[in-house]
This record gives sequence, C-alpha cells and structure tokens, in this order.
Amino acid sequence: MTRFVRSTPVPPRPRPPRPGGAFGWLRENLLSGWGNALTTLAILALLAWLLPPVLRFLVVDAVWTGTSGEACRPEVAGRPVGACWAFVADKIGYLVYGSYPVGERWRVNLVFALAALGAGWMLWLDAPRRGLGAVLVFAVLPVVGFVLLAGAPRLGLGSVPTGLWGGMLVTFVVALTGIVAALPLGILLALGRRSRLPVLRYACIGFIEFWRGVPLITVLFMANVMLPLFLPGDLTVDRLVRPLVGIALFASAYMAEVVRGGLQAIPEGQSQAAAALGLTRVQTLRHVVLPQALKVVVPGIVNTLIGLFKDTTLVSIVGIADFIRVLESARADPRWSAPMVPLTAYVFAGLFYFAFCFLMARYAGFIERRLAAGDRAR
Amino acid sequence: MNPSAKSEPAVVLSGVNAWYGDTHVLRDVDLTVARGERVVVCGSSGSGKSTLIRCINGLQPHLSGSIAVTGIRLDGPAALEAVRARVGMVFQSFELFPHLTVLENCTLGPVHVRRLARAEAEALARHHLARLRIPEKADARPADLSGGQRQRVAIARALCMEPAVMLFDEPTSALDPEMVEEVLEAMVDLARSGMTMVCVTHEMGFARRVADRIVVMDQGQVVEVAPTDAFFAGPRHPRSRAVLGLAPV
Repeated sequence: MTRFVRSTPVPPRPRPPRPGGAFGWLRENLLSGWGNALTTLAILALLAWLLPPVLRFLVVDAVWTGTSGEACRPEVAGRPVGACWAFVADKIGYLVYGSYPVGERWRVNLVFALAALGAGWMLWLDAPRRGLGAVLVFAVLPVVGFVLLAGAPRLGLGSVPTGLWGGMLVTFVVALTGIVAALPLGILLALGRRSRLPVLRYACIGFIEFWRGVPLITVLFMANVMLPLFLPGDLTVDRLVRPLVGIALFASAYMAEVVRGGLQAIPEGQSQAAAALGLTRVQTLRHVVLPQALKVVVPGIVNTLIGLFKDTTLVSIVGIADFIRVLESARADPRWSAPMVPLTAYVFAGLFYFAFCFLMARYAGFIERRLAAGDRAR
Repeated sequence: MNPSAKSEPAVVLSGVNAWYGDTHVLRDVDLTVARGERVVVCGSSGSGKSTLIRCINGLQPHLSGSIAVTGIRLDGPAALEAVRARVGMVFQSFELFPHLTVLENCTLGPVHVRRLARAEAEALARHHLARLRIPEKADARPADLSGGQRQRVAIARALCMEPAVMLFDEPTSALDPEMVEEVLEAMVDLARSGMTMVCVTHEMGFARRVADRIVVMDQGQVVEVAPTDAFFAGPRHPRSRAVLGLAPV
C-alpha cells in the first residue's frame, strides 16, 4: 500500500461554459434527443392549429362597437363575426353592479376602491403600519363597506336592498366574506380538532366532517329554501347573508383540514422548547407553532381560496344575482340576440374568473419564494 | 423573596414515579440538588435519565411523589409556568425556532414570559450571545449556523430567562465530533459562573471536570449517587462500572 498526502492544493476553476446563445439553449432544452424533439414539434403543431382560430375569434373578427345584436350578425356586418365585445361593452354596467340604482353606483365604486386599497396594503408585505392596516381592513372596512352599499338613511345614503345588488359586486362580496371568514375559522377549527379537551375536539371533528360531507349546492338550497321554513315567521335573515354564511362555513371546514396538515408538520420538540421557556399554550401557538405551520400550507390555503372563489358561482342557482346569473340574463336579452353573443358571454366569464384565480396563484407563488428565501438551506 | 427561600435547595424530587404509556419509566426517584451544585446524570439509553430531567420542568408529568424547584411545588398549570420560567433547558436536537432570527429566539421568552421591554430583552440577548462567543450571529437564522453554534444559541436562549437551574438533555449527542468541544467549553464556563446544572450526558470527561455529584440510572431507578471523585475512583453499582466502560467485578 502506498500512502498519499497532498502537498499541492487544487485551486477552484470556473466551470466550463454552457453551450452559448439562443441556438445552444434551443438544442439543450427543446431538441435534445429524438423524443424531446418530437414532443416540441407536436406542441408547436398544436399551437399552430389552435392559436390562429382563437386569435381570429377574440381579436381579428371581433366586433368592438355597436348598440344592439344587429352589429354582431354576419349578414349585417357583411363579414365573418367573432366575439361580440360590443355586447359586453353595452352591458358592462349591469355585469358589474347588477340592478344597483345607477345614481348610487358611485358608492359601489368607492367600496371597490377602498377594498383595492386595503388589499394592496395587506398584500404588500413591506407596507408601513400593517398593524393599523389590518384593523382597518378586517374591522372597519367591512362595516363601512356594508353601510355604503346597503345605505343608511340617517347619513343621507338611500337604502339599497341586497336584492338589487348584483354582478361582480355580489361575486366580490361573497368571495371576500368567504375568504376573510374561512381562514380564521379554519385555524380555530384545526386547533380545536387537536385540543386535549374531548368535548371541544369531537365538536370540531363533527363540524368539519358535516360540512365536508355535504355538497355545497345542498347547503345553499338549505340556506335559501329550507331555512326560512324553520325560522319563526318574524325572524328573517337577508337572502344574500344566508348563502354567505353557508359558503364561509363550508370553506372553513376545508381550510381547517389544510391548516391541520401544517400543524402536524411541526415537530413536537418545537412546542416543548417553547413550553420549556415558560410560554403558555396560547403563546406557543401564536409565536412558535402557527407561524411555521401556516408557512408550510400556503399552497393548500391558496388552493382552497381559489376553489372558494369559483364556488361562489353556485349562489346563482339559488337565485342570487351574482356575476354568472347576471351574465345569463344579459345574454338572454332579445335586443342582443346574435349567434356569437352566448359564446362571447362565457368567454368573458372565463377570462374574469381566470384573471382573479391566476392573480391569487401568482401572489401565492411570490409569498412562497419569499418565505423560502427567509430560511434558506432548511 | 423571603430569606429562607434563598437556602432552599434548587431541586427536590421525592418518591417520584412516572409512566410513559403503561411503562413505568421512573420508579421512586429521590434526588436533591443544592443551589450552585452540578449534577451529571448518566445511564444507558432507556434508563430514564432524560425522563428524570424532563420531570423537573414538567415536560414529562409525574403521577406520584413531589417535585419542587426553588421551593415552588410542581402541582398545577400556574406552578408549571412559574417553574419553567425559572428553569432553562437545552435539548439534544437544539429545537431553535427556525422562523426567527438568533436574536428573536433569545428574546421570545424574556419579552413574552418575563415581560421585559424589547430593547432590554435585546440587550440581554446580545450579552448572552457574546458570552457564548457568537455575538456576530445575532441576525442569522438557525439554518445558517453549524451544529455547535446552534447549541450555543440554545444555551444563550435559555440563559436569557436568567434561570435558577439549567437542564441539559444530552446536549452534545447530535453534534459532529469536532463541534462537541466548543459546546462543552461553553458548559464548563457556565459551571464556573456558579450556575446550578443538571446534565444528562455521555461525556464522562466533562462529568469528571465539572460535576459535584454523579447520578447513575438504570431501568427507571437511581442506582448510584456519588461525589465525582469517589465515583471515578471506585464505582460501586454494576451499572456504574458499565457506564465507565469497566468490566464487572
């Protein structure tokens, strides 16, 4: 056996250059090997087949202006007609506000602006005074928003019954209430499910399993059709509030299970270390367990919120004038009867829901990357 | 604090029994640790030594017998938190809070349990981090530290509570051999400063240097308690001889 002892150290050298330029990238990522090249070609062919007709429908052949369905009839326009955007432009007020009185729509706009401001304040993580912002957004804004929308005759704001609310306004109200209620409720339920007190634990398990086991549409029918039959005659709950509560409870059950997954991912040693410092159980949850658990389940939370946002469309079935229901009645307007109007309406609805879900997903991606940067090499 | 409390022993366990599930893991344990005393607890794994020190701050509940720490009897939730605030603990697996910086790890207890002002807590934390020779890591995350540095932060975190007693549960067992020494050095410094310490460890060299008394455990029982010199000069119980790697007599 010979013995080796290093006498001359090997200094680090730069890595050999990657194949350069756009061509090098193409070869490495798209055309490396036959299988990869064929897949690339097949997808290119698919895009070449799909994209032109879609673009032709959405942009090239689309009708942008007009005051009635006539504008969107090929025989009148004298050319092939794609999307009838003129219909959307004509109905946009109805699609956004529903039957909310035209003269009072500034109130809705004001609420939208306040909500956008509040959302920006909360979502921008380095924003100043976020504590104050949280109080304003979660305690003050809902009250102010409701007073503005429903009206308060004493303040000189004419009352607008919720039956007149509609369109995107109702979709946003339902979705935001659901989102704001589901997360804290879900956290409480998840904690309750892990409680040491059997009564609390079984109550939470029962609650979660009940709401997870019932289809949302059943919940909504119960809320809007059956519930009034059981309540005493003089007790009425607003038609909009009932499905709102149903959706919030439904989503909170799913949220609870997502959060429970996060709680279980945190090792017992963390709670013990916190307890050993003398922290109470509540302080341990607040400062040690929950921050780590929620960080783990950001993707699951966003997944649930996206699902909740799309589930709001179900309220249209129980007679709430949300965006989808308003869109349905708009496209049934005989003044706008033209072959492409229904398709345009659904494409518009698809774009609307996609835009918000995609935004939520992107924001969640940003949060995840930022949290990951916070504890590198974990 | 009344004057008699000052002379009170740091830890008194009498007739302590504990079960883990149905397993009887501590059997009639009696042990008194005086203020300023250093006690090393050893024994094979499963002998109940970790359970013993986890009973002292109530992480492991005892079902009979009594435990008192600096005169406070461990007999209810309020006493539990009062005792834990006066007893520092260092774990084998560090258990730093990964979502907080080193400084925040050290100020969490002082701010929320001792109700110190944040500035005061930070000054205290920086003092102890300097004492543990890692002042420059105050703003790092636990993930950016080596094992030895993590364990020293864990010691600093416990010291920030200004505890009357420090418990160590195999503090060097999860470390690479080259990092064991830096943690043991920190513990020797701490012992020299007069801290009351109860250490579960396999580091017999450390025990010999620092301990006043050695406690040997086997199958949930205390099988030998001896002053350090006497213990190393001639362990009496067969388990004690095994702990020192000696052949049975």
